[in-house]
Amino acid sequence: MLEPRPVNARRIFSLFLKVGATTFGGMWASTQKLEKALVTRAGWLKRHELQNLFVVSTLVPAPKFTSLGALVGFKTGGWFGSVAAVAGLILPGYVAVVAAAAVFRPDLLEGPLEPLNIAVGVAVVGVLFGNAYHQIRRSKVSRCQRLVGICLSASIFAAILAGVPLIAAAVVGFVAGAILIRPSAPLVVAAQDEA
Amino acid sequence: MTAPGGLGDIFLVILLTSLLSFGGGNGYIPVMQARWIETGLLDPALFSFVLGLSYLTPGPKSGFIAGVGYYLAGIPGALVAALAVVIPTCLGAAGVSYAAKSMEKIVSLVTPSSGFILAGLIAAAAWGTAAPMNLSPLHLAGIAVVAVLVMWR
Repeated sequence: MLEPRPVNARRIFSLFLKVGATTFGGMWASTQKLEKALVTRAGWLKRHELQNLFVVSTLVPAPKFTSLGALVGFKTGGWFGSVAAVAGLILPGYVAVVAAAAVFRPDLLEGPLEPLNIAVGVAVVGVLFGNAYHQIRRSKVSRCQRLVGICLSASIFAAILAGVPLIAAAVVGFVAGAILIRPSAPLVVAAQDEA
Repeated sequence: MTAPGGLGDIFLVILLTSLLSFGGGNGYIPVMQARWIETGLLDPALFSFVLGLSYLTPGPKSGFIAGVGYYLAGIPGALVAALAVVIPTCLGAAGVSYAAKSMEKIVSLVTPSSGFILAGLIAAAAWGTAAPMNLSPLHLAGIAVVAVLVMWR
């Protein structure tokens, strides 16, 4: 499943540089954009492979978004691809933070930039909820399994809000999902990719 | 080499703290606070500033790590901080990829439910982002509008 494919490291760097320069709010807020870039346009991954990597990225001891970049880079271009993906992904944000730290005063975010700060936060939260909906809508399972899946989503959401560590919630969710939502037809994964 | 706030210290602290960062970059924050803020090496206002900036700038929210490195040791500090993020991330991703390769059957079992698991994780991230923001009804309406637009797209 996770066999590296030979994609040029420069292409990987270029794609992740664009992703890093145009996404806001972290990995969960960027799921749709990543799907378009990696699945629809580049064709490097199938949709279900990317979905799995989103969840697997929570198991890597590093920030999620950079972990996802490293996983995709490793899968498509091996070690060089992994480094290229992470470097491209973090470069725009890291340069922007350092540049702003060098130029601006710390009280700026509580003064002139406060409205922008709040507006970005509101937009990110809205994008996150919208992306959560899309993940449920695009899951190709039976109606009954969909109801079970929504209960699973709600349980993971509630558990994390109650203080359960994210990794524990993800692992328990994996196990419960594997038990409760079995592939009802051999072509479930193919149907997901066609969607 | 590893004087507090020096390049070696920045590299080692961020590298080792990555091990506490399963599922997100928040594991860095308490360690940085204990190591550099409580010891007076880094002004708390500067730390808060780069944390806020990382939400306003594109890409991963871990951009504040480079900002902390910059405040501690200038541009070399920022570069070393970035390197200390890249190394454990790539090593960890490779390790998880090799492990996942030997667990293909398990991966195929969880594939049908992965969208639902993701939805729960994303919704929790949304709540976690919104909770500290002291949102007014106008902000909530804004969130609803953006969410509907994304759902509709």
